[in-house]
Amino acid sequence: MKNKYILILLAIFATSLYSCDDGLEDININPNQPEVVPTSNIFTYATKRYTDFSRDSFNSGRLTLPWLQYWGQTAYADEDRFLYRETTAQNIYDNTYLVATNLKAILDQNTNEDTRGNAAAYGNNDNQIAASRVMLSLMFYELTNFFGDVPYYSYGSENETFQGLAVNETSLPVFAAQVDIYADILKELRESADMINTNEPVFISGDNIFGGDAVKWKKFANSLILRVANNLRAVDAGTANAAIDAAIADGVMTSNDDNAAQTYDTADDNASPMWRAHITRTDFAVAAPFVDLLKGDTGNYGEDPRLFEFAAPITATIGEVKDGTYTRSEDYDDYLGIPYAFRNTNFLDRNTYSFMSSKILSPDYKEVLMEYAEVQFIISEHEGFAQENYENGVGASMERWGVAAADITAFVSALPTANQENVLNQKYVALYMQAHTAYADYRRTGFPNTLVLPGETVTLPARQVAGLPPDNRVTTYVFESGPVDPSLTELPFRLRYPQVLQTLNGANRSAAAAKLSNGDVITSKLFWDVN
Amino acid sequence: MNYMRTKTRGILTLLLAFVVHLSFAQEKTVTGTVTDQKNTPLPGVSVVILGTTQGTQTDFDGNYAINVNEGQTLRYSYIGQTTVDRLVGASNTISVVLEEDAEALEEVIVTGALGITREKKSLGYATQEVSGDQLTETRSTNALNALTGNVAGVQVSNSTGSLGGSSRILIRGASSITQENRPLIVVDGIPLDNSNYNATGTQTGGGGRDFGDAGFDINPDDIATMNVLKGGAAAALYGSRASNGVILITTKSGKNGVSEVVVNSGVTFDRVNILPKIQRLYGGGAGDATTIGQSGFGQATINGVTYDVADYGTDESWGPRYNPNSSVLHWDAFDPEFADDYLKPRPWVYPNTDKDDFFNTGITYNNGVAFSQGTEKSSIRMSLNNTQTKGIVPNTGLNKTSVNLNGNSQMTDRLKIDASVNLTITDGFNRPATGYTGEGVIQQLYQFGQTQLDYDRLKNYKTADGTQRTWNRVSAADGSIRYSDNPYWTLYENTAEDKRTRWFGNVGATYNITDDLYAVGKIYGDTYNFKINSHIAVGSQAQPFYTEIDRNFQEINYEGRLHFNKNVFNDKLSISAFAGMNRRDNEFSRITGETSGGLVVPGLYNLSNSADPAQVTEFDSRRRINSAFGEISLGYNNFLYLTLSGRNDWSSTLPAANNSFFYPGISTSFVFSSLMDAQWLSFGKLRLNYAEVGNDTDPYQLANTFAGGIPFLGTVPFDLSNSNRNPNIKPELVQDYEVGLELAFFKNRLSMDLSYYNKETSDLIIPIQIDPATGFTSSFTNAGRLRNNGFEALVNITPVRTEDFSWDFTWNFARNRSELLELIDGVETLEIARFPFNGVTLNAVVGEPYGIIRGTNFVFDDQGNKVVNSNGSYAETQNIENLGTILPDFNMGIRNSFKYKSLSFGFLIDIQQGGKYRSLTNIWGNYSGILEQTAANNVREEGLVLPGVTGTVTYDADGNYTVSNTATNTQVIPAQQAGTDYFFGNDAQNVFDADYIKLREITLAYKLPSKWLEGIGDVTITAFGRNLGVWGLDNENFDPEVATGGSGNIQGSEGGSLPSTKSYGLNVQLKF
Repeated sequence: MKNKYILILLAIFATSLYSCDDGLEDININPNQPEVVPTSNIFTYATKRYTDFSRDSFNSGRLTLPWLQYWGQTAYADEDRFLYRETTAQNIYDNTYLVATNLKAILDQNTNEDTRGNAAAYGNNDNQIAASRVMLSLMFYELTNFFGDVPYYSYGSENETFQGLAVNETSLPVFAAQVDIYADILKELRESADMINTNEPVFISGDNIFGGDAVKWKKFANSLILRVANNLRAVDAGTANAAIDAAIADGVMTSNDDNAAQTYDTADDNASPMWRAHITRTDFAVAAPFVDLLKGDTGNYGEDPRLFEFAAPITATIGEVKDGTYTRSEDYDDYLGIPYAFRNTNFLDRNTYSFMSSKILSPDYKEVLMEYAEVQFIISEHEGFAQENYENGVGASMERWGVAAADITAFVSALPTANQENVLNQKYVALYMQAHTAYADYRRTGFPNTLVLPGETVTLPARQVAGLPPDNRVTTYVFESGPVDPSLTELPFRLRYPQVLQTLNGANRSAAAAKLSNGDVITSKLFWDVN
Repeated sequence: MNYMRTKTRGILTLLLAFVVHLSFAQEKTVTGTVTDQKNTPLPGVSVVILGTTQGTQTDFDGNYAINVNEGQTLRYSYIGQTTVDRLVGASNTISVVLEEDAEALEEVIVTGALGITREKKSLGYATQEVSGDQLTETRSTNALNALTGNVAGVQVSNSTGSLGGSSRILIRGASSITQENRPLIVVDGIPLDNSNYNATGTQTGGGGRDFGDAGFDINPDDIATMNVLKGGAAAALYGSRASNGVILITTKSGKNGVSEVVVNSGVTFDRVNILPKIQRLYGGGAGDATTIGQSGFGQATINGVTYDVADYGTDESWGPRYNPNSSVLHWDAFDPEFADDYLKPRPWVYPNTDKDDFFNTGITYNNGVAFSQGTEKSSIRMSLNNTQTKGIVPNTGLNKTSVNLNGNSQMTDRLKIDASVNLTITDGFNRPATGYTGEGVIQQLYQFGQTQLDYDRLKNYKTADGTQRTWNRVSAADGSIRYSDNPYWTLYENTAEDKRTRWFGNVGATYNITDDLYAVGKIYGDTYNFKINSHIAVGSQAQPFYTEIDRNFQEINYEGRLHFNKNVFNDKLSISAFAGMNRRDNEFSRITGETSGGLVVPGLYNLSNSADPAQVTEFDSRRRINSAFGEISLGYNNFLYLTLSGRNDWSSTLPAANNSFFYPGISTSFVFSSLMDAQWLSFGKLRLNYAEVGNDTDPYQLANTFAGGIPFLGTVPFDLSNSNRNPNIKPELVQDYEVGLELAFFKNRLSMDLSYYNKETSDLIIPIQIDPATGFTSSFTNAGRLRNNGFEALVNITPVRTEDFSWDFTWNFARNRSELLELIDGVETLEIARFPFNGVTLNAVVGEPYGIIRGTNFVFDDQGNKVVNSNGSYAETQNIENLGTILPDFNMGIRNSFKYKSLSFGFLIDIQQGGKYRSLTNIWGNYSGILEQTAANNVREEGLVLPGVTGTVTYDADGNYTVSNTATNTQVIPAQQAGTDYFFGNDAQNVFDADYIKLREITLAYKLPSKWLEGIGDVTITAFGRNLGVWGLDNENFDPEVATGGSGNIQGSEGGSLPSTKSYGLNVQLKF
């Protein structure tokens, strides 16, 4: 009797265990993360994430901002001497693709017949595709300018060497030739501008660059063509001129209203990358070569009132800069740059150099992707250094930074005549806080010619000398680049490929390295860098 | 900070007072003589009251006397003789004759898989048992740590200084590349979750707090035995999680006919063992890396007076040389409210209380009481234990209380029920932060900082209005914080708390259907809540912050089995078989809340006090595995055994097409000594087994998904996960064979157990690292084969055994060789983790052992000389190279135990040879001029010449090099250049051998003579020490074991680990 009872119990137990077997798959449905989300929300992520990493304290603050001598570090200025961190190169590389794969998800959802209908709920399909292609073009342009050949993804091309972002096809993508990447970016941008339907919004929400304005996206696409094509000028003038002419004809930015900039929030968690870097640390100040140029001590441009917008007076503490409470000074003597790559910056009196201005160090500072002034400078160069566009460029830059109209007129009217040096030096000033672009210009043209180069002796201003400890008081120092490559006599020409690629994609990385003039080192020049 | 709860200790004292007044049933003294078959008296025979631990030994003439109750049983045992039991009746004299027993070892019973006891001789696989007494000898608060050096093939490393921190346990090497490699812990049949929730940063040394392992929740005093099942054959019945071996814990239970109360009370002191050695010649400040000359003091003019001031803003120690004749304003001379110091220059000298004085003596109080009682039909045991630890770092502590209740009852002739319940509450207060973080103790003391700081003075870390006073002022004029908080501010203001409340237990019933057939039904449950909160106070260098993480874990196993046991053919053949089913349900949830943008009200640590809206994230996970399993064992004539087993799992984490997987096992045992007639051979057995174990993966790894972020300008940003999921994953498979030999000689005075095993894992489920240009940093795939093979030996020798004195010697040795045989096509290396700074990584490399550290190397010429650059620094390879594996060549333990009358003494030496670790503290301690070597041999005044050669290094396009035109290096470089090169230069200079020889344990125990303790019971006093000596280090600044930042696969990175500790203490045990 009892035996039977037990056996029945066991039988019930066994049945209950296996009757639910069909439910196993349901248990594995992810309750935390969905497989499909609105494209506009992905776009919000992608554009913010791009400026978050590209303009942060390492990938900009300890790389191109100091190399172009806009900023210098207040201590541990190792990267200023070109000892950039391995993690910086890797960060730029990784994040470019990780953001790009999200843009590709938007492209896929708007292209695939099954999902295109749903995606249209968040904006015109073509416009979503165009905006995503523009962002991809911008990002791949910056990436290839850092490294040279890199794995590349193109929405519109079937080129078999474009193997990036294709995880299901290969985990060992070949590195596309930089010359092919340039050509394809120009093609992508052209097609993007052409496919935009200016009667419909790009995204109905979540576009924090242009708020969904299709006209501005079209102008941005054309303006980017100017930037990319212009960088080809020295090696392929024909392509460059044709692309630029077509872009201008189709419509480029015509005022500061058209500027492309990523908006940030006022809350710390979503604040601009440099604000976030300064929440707890104070590592940067405006560098002396740049301040000297703006003060008119170097160059032949006289006193540039943008200095008061770019930097804070030396008396301002970092707390006052962050709070926006320092007393604004329009006395050029109240500004000193931090000596660039001075090994003993720690000995300096901290009231003898200028921090960046409150305008820059603010949570909702907009990271500019491209602005009208740059367009004008490129057109000036395109026209053989046209005076009018050069003046427009300087004027637009000053206007954008909030310089009073009268001061703009005075400064612009006193500008020396347009020529390569003047146009490119002024373009350099206008590219403040967009140092990746300035870095490409420097490599292509050798301008600005106001930078301190390795081996040069720098004289310290008397006020800074007086603040040094008596035992360590020097009046001059020599800018010594770090020991990464003792042969370095000017700025590095590129970054080394992330070391981890030796492991992850060894053969393709080796093939790309072999095509570089000196191998995978920072002194190998990229193909467009022939000056 | 009143975290030490004295209440529990009070209760224990009361209990103690209560129990000593208990009196027991009528006792009488029984005397007698024990002899062997030839009537020779046997000295040293153990006479124990069965079911208790009370007992005595025979004297030189074989005589004994013992107090015992009528009706109790006395057990007489002596190695090499048969054991005899005698019931105590009316007589007061019991004399016994013991017979020689060549097969004593055959009697050993061990607990095998699923808690089924087996005769050890019948087992076809290796198992090694450690008794609870041995585990608790040195009162380690983590029972698992006590396995260190005790069990061959089990490698336990733990960072002892980190207050209940993580232990890395590996049995026979790592069998998976990226998945779990920890063994399964089973307590009385309950698979006990041993999760480790350390952040990746904590594991790599990037910074964080070590919250330890959930396995810490077992009270060591409740453990009767701990049995390590090393191979697949033993483990297969536990399913996929057992592919890394099983640690089987059986807790104590009440014994038939015995009422017993055991009280343990002990105290342990912890002292820092190995600290980095620091230079005492130069104080804080920036130096000039370009020159050999020394830096001087800055000046500040305050109220018209000009003072020399230190360079407070630089968190380095390249400052001026100490000189008692120089007086400067130190960091604490700027607050008027501290009138004794305000604007008072003091000499520039090495401080009275330095970094080493920062560490306290840690104290652990351990108190426990256990009650047990057994009758013929039922037994019960209840225990209560409390452990309170005050850490070596100021203002840190840990409090653990556990309660255990278990019992069973024979309800009817056929039905037996049993149940157990355990409650453990682990309360951590301010577990110290480790690694490269501003909160990290070692970062603040040894990676960056100034050597002239007096730690007694730093204790005045705030002003009356609550403002922080840090040494790392921006300047003399500006007291705001440059980089580093005052370390005491960090420890007293920026605290963290964690609490784990855990319940685990089981209920079960056994029903005898017939004499041969019985059924078992069991439900096992393990559930806990783990809450962590931490904060950064207003006024810290970092943004004020509060976070709370709430985790809930639950695992329930439902199990039913049917057993059949029968002997046939005149008992020549024994059959033992069972079949069963199991369902395992796991649920896990985590809710994380964080403030954002700072805190509004200082001192209020609550998510609602967030300056910007607080952020909350949630994660839920479920998993189910259904299983059917069975085993059949055949034994022939007590010398030949064959066992076949099989298990099929259906896992929810695998795609439907691949979610069912079967794995079989076979093992044999041949007791060949039964067939031999050799006096010298007491026991001989050969064993052989083969087993497979399948393994699933974590939930939600089959489809790519988007994760939501913090709402940004009104939109929730969504992005794809960085890992590409795979809908076609298959289970991974471990194939494992093992041969073993067990031998005992000379009446078991010498015995040994030797094993060789080969374990191969294939179809490894790996989120394999891929070129991020694919759009993902990793991709889930089945790839690769990993092989581990090795040799283990366990040797027991009893060189001396006399009436009063015995000496036992145990040697265990394990050597594991791992090799990654293949990954996927075109990929030779898989990155397991990235260590902080300089791109140093931990990898699995094809053709190499598991766990290769990769980074740049020195450049060597043909003769093996290091090549020096034209600037006098060491050259660095362009390519990254393999710099060694984190896994050791071998581990061994040597244990000696001596007994003289009631006194016993023992020590354990633990040796590790081979293995590497990378030290971040070595990088920054040199970079910042803190370590002793940065000032040794007068290098700061004279510079130094790096040993090596100069030469021309030519690289090809692949980054390979050749060296020509070499000449001995004579370039003199400044000490600071040499110091900073530890960061700028190659990675190999920061990678060190992990060899060590440790005096792991030393114990001295004395059992008070019973005549002193009339009517009380047994009192044993034990003095012990742990980790008292360490020798054979490659870098004397670090204990290699501190490169354990978690219990997972990320190992070998010292990133600012707390120093290891040496402990000593005293324990008193009372038994009634």
